[in-house]
Amino acid sequence: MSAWVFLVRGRGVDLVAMTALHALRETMGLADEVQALHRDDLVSIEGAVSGTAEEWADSLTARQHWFNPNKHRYALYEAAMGAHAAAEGSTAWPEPWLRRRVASDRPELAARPPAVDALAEWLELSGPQGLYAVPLLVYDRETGVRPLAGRSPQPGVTHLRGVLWTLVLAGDDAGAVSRRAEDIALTRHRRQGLLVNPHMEGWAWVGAPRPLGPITEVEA
Amino acid sequence: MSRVRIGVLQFPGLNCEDETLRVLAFAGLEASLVRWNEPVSRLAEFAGYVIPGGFSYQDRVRSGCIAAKSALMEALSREVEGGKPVLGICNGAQILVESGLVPGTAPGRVDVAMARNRVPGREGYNACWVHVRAGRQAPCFFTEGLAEPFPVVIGHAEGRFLTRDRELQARLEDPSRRTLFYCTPDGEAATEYPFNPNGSPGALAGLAGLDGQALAFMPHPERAAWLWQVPEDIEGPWGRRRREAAARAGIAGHPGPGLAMIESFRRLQKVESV
Repeated sequence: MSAWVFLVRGRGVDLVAMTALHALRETMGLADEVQALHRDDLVSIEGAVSGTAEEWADSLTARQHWFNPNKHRYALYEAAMGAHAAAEGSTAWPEPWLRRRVASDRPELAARPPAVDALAEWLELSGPQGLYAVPLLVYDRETGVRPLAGRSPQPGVTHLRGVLWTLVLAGDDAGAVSRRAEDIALTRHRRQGLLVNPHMEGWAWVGAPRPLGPITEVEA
Repeated sequence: MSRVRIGVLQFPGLNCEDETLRVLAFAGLEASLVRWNEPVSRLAEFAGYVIPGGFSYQDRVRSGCIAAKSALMEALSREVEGGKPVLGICNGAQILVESGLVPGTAPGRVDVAMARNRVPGREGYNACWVHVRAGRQAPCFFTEGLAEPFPVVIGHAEGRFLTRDRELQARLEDPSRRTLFYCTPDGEAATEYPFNPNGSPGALAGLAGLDGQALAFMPHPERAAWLWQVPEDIEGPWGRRRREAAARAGIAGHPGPGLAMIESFRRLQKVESV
């Protein structure tokens, strides 16, 4: 059994993230807390996958179903099993989830060895102390985990597609930031929450809030 | 006697404001556009409101959610919670749901989402003529007197009223409490495509909030306000009327099936003149 996570980011300015950030900071009055917001597309694949990680990377990028090389950059990571069961509510989200970078067309990633915290590497988390990055995966609650179908279906393989939001919040400690992130992300009131409507979307906090700082590379 | 004044709210990306203004004028109402960046105090000028269809903020993040956070919607909520009616059409309906005005079980609380269409073999945006009928026991300012099924247009990709609250979901789908539902031309609740065009649970096409003062309606009544807009081949009495009118000259000014809902605002005049 294998698990891969395919991450895709636009090459240009992300207008959706900019609009959401503006709404959070200016319209909802959270400018002191919300410092930045990033958005990536994420596809998680789990099951009795045939083929190596490298073959999957080639296949995913060549097929261009989730990725367009003219518009996007990508990375493929080996991941821990269990995210799909967690998305269906039966287990906790695996932590750490992303394990090893297999392939990427992002030059800054390709040029250096994989980092200890693979997700932090993808998110390029660095910055002043006192800021925390809070990754949040949002997906369709009804369709959620689905068989991998299409032109080359693989029996026993499922995928989960969603949006990986990363809130960068100012806060005193990870616990406090975690609580505020929930208030900021989950729409429960017209004055509160923006990124998830829990009535139709599922969500998962992908690990604890990460303090910003220099990226640590894996020792050779 | 002066005409009732209706405000048509405009957010960036909405694109049905012109036809909405024209239909309100056709219904004998005085309609004005209120843009998102105007002083919100302007809302006090109006007796009722329409939020038209389109793609506010390009549907970024989620349909209607960015507009729902605006100062204009906060001010509108105060007016509507104070008793003025508001009709949200399509994206306007999505904005009303995201702002908690519909179903309005508690002030400002967001209890529902507008989920993606879910029809076997079809994904995404769907535009077509459908039939809709008002529930007989659901109080709503905009459906009083709407006894018969009527044809109207839909055009959306996210039109299903969905909630995690099972008790509330059962209440929304309860046939005796539905505000407006998709139906067959003879008025039976539509369970399947194409009569139920988006897989809506309970065939819900519209949902009211705040004792019926706020209505989130996914179809576009402004696209069915004149008889000439109705297709000649549509089933039911409106299709028959359209075919008969086509055989005569002078169809241009004939009212269509969507006008009655818009004309509801004229009752405000009667209330004010008492």
